[in-house]
Amino acid sequence: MAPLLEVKDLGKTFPIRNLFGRTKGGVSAVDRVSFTLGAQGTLGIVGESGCGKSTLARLLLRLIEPDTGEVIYRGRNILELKGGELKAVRRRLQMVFQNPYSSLDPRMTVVDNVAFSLRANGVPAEEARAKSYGYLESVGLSRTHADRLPGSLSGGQRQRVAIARALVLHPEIVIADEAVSALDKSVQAQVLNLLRDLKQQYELSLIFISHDLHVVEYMSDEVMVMYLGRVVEKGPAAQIFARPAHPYTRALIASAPNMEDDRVGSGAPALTGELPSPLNPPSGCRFRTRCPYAVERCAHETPVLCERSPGHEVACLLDGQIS
Amino acid sequence: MGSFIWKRLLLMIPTLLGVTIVVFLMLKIVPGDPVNALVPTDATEAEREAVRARLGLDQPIFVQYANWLARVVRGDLGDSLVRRLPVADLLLPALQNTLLLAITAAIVSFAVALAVGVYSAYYPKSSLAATFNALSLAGIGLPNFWVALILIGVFSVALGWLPSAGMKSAGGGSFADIIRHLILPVAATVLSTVGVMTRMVRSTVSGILQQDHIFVLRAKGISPTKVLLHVLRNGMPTILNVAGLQFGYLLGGSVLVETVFSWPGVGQVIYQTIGQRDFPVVQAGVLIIAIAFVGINLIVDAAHAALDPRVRRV
Amino acid sequence: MSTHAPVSADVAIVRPARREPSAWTLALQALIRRKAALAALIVLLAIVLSCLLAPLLSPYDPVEGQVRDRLLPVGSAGHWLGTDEQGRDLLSRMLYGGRLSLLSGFAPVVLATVIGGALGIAAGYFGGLANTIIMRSLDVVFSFPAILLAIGISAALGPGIVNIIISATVVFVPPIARIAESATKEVAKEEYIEAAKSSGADSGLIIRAHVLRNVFGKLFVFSTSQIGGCLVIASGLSFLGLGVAPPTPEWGFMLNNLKQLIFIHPVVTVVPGLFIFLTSLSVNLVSDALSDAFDAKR
Repeated sequence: MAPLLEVKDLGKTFPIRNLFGRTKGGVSAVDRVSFTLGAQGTLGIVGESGCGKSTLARLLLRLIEPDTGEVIYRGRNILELKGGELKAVRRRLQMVFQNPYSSLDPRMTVVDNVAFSLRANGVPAEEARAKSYGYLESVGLSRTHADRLPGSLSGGQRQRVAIARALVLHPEIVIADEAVSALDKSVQAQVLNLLRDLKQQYELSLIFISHDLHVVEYMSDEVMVMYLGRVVEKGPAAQIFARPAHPYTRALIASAPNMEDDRVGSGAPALTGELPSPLNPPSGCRFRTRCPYAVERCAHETPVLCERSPGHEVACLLDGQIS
Repeated sequence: MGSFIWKRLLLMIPTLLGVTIVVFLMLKIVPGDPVNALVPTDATEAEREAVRARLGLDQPIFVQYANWLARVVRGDLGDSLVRRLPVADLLLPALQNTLLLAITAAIVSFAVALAVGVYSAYYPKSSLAATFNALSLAGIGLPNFWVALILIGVFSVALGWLPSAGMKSAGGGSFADIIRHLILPVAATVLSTVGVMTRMVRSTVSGILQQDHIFVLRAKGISPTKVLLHVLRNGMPTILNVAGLQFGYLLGGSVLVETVFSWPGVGQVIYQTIGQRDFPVVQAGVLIIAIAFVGINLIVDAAHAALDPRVRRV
Repeated sequence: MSTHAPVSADVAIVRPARREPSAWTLALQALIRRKAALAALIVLLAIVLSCLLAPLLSPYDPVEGQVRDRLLPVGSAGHWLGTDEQGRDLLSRMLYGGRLSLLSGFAPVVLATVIGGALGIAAGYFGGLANTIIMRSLDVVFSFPAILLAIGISAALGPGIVNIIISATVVFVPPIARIAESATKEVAKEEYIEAAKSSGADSGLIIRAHVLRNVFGKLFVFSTSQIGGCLVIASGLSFLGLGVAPPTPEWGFMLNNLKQLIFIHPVVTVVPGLFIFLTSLSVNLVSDALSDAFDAKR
């Protein structure tokens, strides 16, 4: 079965301009990222802050235009679409943003915030509101809540609103960009469960972006690990967490709190050093400056993703040689 | 510092060009055919065309602008329609007088604002500070030409202490004489901007006084005078910034004040020539004052940069 | 559709159901709390209303005067504010003149808000080349001292209230546009704008639905703060003879007229200027209070 979404070699570099507008170099935010998303699957994307996850999300939605690569949705490259066709496809890919305090218009009622998406697609105001009330109910917010301004809602409630807004256009793919990161732990669980239920109910595919490994593990079928704009490992969630192959993945898992003892990687060295500046990423393998296994070769050759077992790919020159 | 000044000078050029464009456009929007002023009413069409061609009015507008600009840069601001004299001859001596008035007013305004503002910041609860606050609030809405009239009414007519018109008395012209004539116009000009300046000084100094490093200085026992100097040094960039902006109001306001006092500056010339519909003079007057304003702003920016190294690293 | 029940933690935060007060109500409440601003508002309304009702309130014709009644002082019988050199009743002239003065004080700001607001929002939202062109052009206008620019334009256009309004509008467009631009830039960075774009909305709808309501507060407060200054500038232009022609009354022009009288009859010359001052001061106080109220609400 063909995948619902196929991303190939997506890349984006942000130029740095000096006073007169001339380019002085660039931040390579996303570099040759490829992955696929199957129907009703959940892909978790994990990595530290600054690894390009949020930029990637915005590239997929064309909120930022990619420099290179293709985003193929149902067989068509959406990067080539314009006008009405683009608008039609936009309905199919929706996003839940990270910051519950700035992702809703503070001067618009909750229901109007949700209804706006429908109005933007030509639905008359009354009908849009009616539908929005319905979706807000299905995320657990009553009409009383819906008629208020976002300012009187809690963070968890606002994220529910954001989810309702994402659903209102009947998307096939929902991207949750750090959707629970700004919430308290107890509230996180509720929102995550809500997402799982809604995914089933509306037959969605989910791209779940987070820096929190637990959350990613909880939600995802497949996982993709990113570092400084590149994919270092990807594969089925169970495999990645049981047998992480890339040193970075191992270190991430090791440094995550409260891991059970029978995990591989609990003996692995934890993450040391600091994230290199994205203005000047290390040559060759970008992780080598913090990698305990790095050798001379790692500075000269750029690792590519290689399949080490069905569905499980790793980008490491020393793959297979690390115990 | 040098490169900073160069950069600012370079940036000034498009601004100045823009200013000249605006002034040129002002000349162009005058309703009616300018040729009418120069030919008798029974002139034939051919004669009109000749005058038009001579003045270059049949050229496309860009060419007219370029020609005009070229003349202006050489110091030729055209001729007065009424007096048939070069405009520059009329305006340059007037400019000196205007600058005398404006700069004196600026200095006085600055000094008063500094004194009152600092005092109010140090003693915010004092009755003096409250009075000044109320006064400065009032000062913002004060039309300076009205204040000028009142000052004349009180000090010239009622009390007879100070002269009400002109820059010099007949047969006078000494330094003291000019100062006597300067007092009321300066007072009128100052009153409209000193309110804003005082509030700005007060809020800036207040803000700095609350900062931690000032607290440290005081705790160390450094003399209050030195602390004050330190505070002022810190606050000077912001204050200078506002002072620069206020100077614009001062220049503009001096136009009105000059008319009330018949002070022989650019404003007075503009006033007289407006009534006579002598546009070249009016626009040249506007141009000169605008250029002076841009120039003063550059000086203020340079002073700002001299005091605040952060600005230089643009 | 299944209903996801709200969890108790969320419910606890919900306050009792009650319609939230609108921004206007809150602003008005704050205004009432500050006595000085309240007094200013009352004075302002009194002045504006009496001028609007000039035909009803004015005891005499403002343009015709009895020469034998010339130069009566303030407080004379039948002429509370005295008369001018042609015997025209000053109170009537003030009431009628106020209409034109107030118009030339308010109208330019209103126009400049519409024009400057549109320019600033466009520059702030679309950024890039549009922003550079718009803002740099406005900077050039900005580099003229305000009165001077107004004088230049008025002088070129010729006398008349309409021309004063035009030149004052030009003067106020740049500062208002600047405020609109910076406010819009802040709003444009917010995530709800991104969300709106991702739902396929076109720029026009986003600006109408999201940007305008989030920018309006700052814009409104700033514009009202400019009215006082506009009034002073407009009456200044009138004072220079660029406004109405005699015998039409208007406060600024009346000051010019009465300038000659200052040696004979000083008190009478105070009145028009006093009203310009009072109106301007009241507007400033009210605007200050509004701006505080808006900030406090945040």
